[in-house]
Amino acid sequence: MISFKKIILLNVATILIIVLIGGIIIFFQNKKTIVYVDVVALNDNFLMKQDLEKKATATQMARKNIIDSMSVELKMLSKKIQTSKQTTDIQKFERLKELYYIRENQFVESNESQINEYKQQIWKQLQQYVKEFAEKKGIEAIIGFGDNYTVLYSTEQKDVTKELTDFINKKYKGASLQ
Amino acid sequence: MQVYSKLVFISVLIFIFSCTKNKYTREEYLEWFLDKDNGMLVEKKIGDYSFLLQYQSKDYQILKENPSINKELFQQLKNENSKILILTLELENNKDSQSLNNLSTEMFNYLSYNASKDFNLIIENDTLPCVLYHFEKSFKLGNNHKFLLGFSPLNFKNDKTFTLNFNDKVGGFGNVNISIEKDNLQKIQNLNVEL
Repeated sequence: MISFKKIILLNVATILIIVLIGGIIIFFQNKKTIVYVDVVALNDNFLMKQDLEKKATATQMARKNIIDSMSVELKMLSKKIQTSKQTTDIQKFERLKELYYIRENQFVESNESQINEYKQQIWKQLQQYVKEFAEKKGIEAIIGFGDNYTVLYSTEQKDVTKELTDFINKKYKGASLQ
Repeated sequence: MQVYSKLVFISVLIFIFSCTKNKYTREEYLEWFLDKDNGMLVEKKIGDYSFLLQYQSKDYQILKENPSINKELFQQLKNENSKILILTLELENNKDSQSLNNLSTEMFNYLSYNASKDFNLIIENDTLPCVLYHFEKSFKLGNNHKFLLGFSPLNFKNDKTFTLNFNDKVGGFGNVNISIEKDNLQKIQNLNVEL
């Protein structure tokens, strides 16, 4: 027959073991580490980048269509002038030519500023998600490798590209991942 | 010995279950929705800014609007057929409290009049437009702006993850998605209000 005192001792021992296991888990989770990330793969697989690329391509195509139809109209007018040589047609051609160059420049500038704006938006969110990933995992530093970044050697365990890509995409889609 | 190990197991179980609570007073219920750990208030940080999304269930709205409500009135209001899903969104600046007060005219006009069409609610494969929109500027009282957003999903019973999508055109945030998770929404069913 086991006494009441032994039951209490057994309970205390169980709680102590649970606390010990918890402490070990927390210790290993909080261990500061340095990891590596393939920056090119991370960037290419970021869903926000893919979404904005599609959006930018659609806008650029729409603008290109406008320029292309203006160009066709100009070519037709040019042919007409060569045969008829009417002053009204020549004036119309000159006006359209001027408008064509203005539009073309406007679209080039707009495309560039749109891409820059998207790059800033992507960078802003990416930076935030990487920071949250590092804080959550207790990572001290993330070193990038890929195109212009050099890491001569790293173990596979230290390469967190896939894990980080999953994390940033889940964050982008709205998950809180606390 | 087997009997005693069972005894330990049962006492641990009793200890765990004694910690879970399912009956709440009006004040406790309202507080539960404001506790970030419960997942009804979700924060998303982008740079120096934070978006705070709060889901307001029908019960929460009734209790918040009626401080001295009784059981009968609560049931009556609950049975009224309103199917609008209400969310509040706060935009805060964590570093510079003045930056939000000094909104550019472009940003102010955008948030006041044009941003409503850039808010959508995504539930599984459905994208729903915003049917109720109100923007409240903070006018030097705080460093946050508030949005009240309403959507009308079909047959929504707090059983699916939903995502608020803000396709920002002026603030430089880009596409901002914030989700309220299914697992957290299901916790609402276990909350009983004692009135």
